Amino acid sequence: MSTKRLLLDTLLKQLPVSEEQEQLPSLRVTGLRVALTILTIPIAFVILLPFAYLVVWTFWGTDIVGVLRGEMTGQWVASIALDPEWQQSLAYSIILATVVAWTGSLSLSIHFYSVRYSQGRLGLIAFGTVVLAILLPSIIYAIALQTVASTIGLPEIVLIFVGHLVVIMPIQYFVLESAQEGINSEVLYAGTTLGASHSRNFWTVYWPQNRSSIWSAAVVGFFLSFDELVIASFVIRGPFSTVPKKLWDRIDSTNDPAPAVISLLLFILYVLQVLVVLSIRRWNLKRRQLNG
Amino acid sequence: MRTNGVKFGSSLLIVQFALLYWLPLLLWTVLFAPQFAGATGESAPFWNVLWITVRVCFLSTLWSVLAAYAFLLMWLLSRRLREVILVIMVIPLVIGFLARNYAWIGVLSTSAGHSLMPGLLYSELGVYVVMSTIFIPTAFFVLLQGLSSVSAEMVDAARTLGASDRRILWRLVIPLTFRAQLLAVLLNFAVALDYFVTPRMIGGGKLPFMSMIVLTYFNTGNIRMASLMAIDFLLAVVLPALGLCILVLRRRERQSGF
Repeated sequence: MSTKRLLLDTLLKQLPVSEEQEQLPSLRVTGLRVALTILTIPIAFVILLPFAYLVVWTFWGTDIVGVLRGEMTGQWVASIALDPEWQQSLAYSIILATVVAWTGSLSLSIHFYSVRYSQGRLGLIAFGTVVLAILLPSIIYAIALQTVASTIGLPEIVLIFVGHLVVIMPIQYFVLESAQEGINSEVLYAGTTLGASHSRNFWTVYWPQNRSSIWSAAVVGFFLSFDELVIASFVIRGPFSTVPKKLWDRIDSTNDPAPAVISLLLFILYVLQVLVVLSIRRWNLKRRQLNG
Repeated sequence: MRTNGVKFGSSLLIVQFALLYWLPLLLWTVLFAPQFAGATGESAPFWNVLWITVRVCFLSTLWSVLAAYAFLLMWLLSRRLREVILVIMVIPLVIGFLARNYAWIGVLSTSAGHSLMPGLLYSELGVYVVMSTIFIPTAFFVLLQGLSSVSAEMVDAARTLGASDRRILWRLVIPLTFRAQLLAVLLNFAVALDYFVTPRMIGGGKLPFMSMIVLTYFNTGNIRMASLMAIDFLLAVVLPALGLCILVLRRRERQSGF
């Protein structure tokens, strides 16, 4: 497999795109293709425009909104990286997003594994519960969570964890669900028939088959949690603030390129994790080729 | 013992959502709804705000799904472009929500006397454009999921039976992905209802969205008014949400057979 092919495959595995969709033969409808090309090029330009601006804004900065400074500088990156408040916010957001993302990914994996063994409509009920949670605006949930929790007296960290978890899990659900077709139930049943406990079967049979989609659910969850603002706006009142909340609080007071720097850091983080996964897959592929 | 473990595992998600999502929502509704429900019309511009929210969300969602469908058709028509389309769709999802809005302010701003898209900042059209750029990638992936109902075997069979690619597109692909289009509109619309950052930053406060009003009341200490608006908002969206949920469940039942 070429590096280009492996990179595309790695990207696809991190998205809710199945192999069938990727392998679908292309249709030849020339007139429509020309029309669509003319239509999609400007849309693609508009979609990518903010990203291009963020890159420029990170290194040029602005004094007045929309007016870039004359010379390129790394001062904005340095000021964010060296500022203790930003460091604290970044660390808080990264730790929170990591814990939330893996909690969601793991509990959903346990759910999808167990549903294969359970009779009845538990899977369907779970699906309904998750879909309805997506459809109701999270602002309503945020105010409900804040109001109820302040009555009970729950700490802020618990609230933000719970809020993020229920916001990201429905999305993770769809990422993991799209990969379930590729998992062979017979291999799972063989494991339990041969005497393996469910926990052993989960870790040694189900997990290796589902590793890439669990990872991609965690990645999606991480970015969603890191970027979450609705719950954070209602819940966070103390000194520890997540990055989006901190950016939102400064919205009227400053015009420095902090959002651009953070965004670029996020993008680099994403590219890095794709490269790490790609290297692991290449290494696995080489090892398999060596073993024949 | 082993069966109990599996039962626990398969109920885990339901228990998690019941405790962490539905219980706070239910308690809040039971505690506050009787005091507030129906009173918003007298004390706040509830219906006006709801109308603005629904109108902007629906139009930007509709346009986004149409644009995403154009990308989906490009995906189908050109195998070589699939990688490019994928990259175009992934980048906006990775760069962060707030930063994207800040970037749009910079792009649309005319402080230097020139702008790539003059007149869009602090206008309703600007809000449509920016919201669309966020929804197009998400709609694209929902549509791509819907494409799984079209298999390579179906396309091959149609070709063997003498159908042209144009006919395959109109008679096979578009009808089979119709449900996904509907789903993309509804899911994006549900997400859009939550928006407050884009209308505030790009609309410049001219478009009062429901979430923004609730948050403003909450931040200014008017918890009663925030709860009041939120409960009426819940009453306004709960029935359509339930209807959609039933639609999605039926579709799933038909597909999976259980």
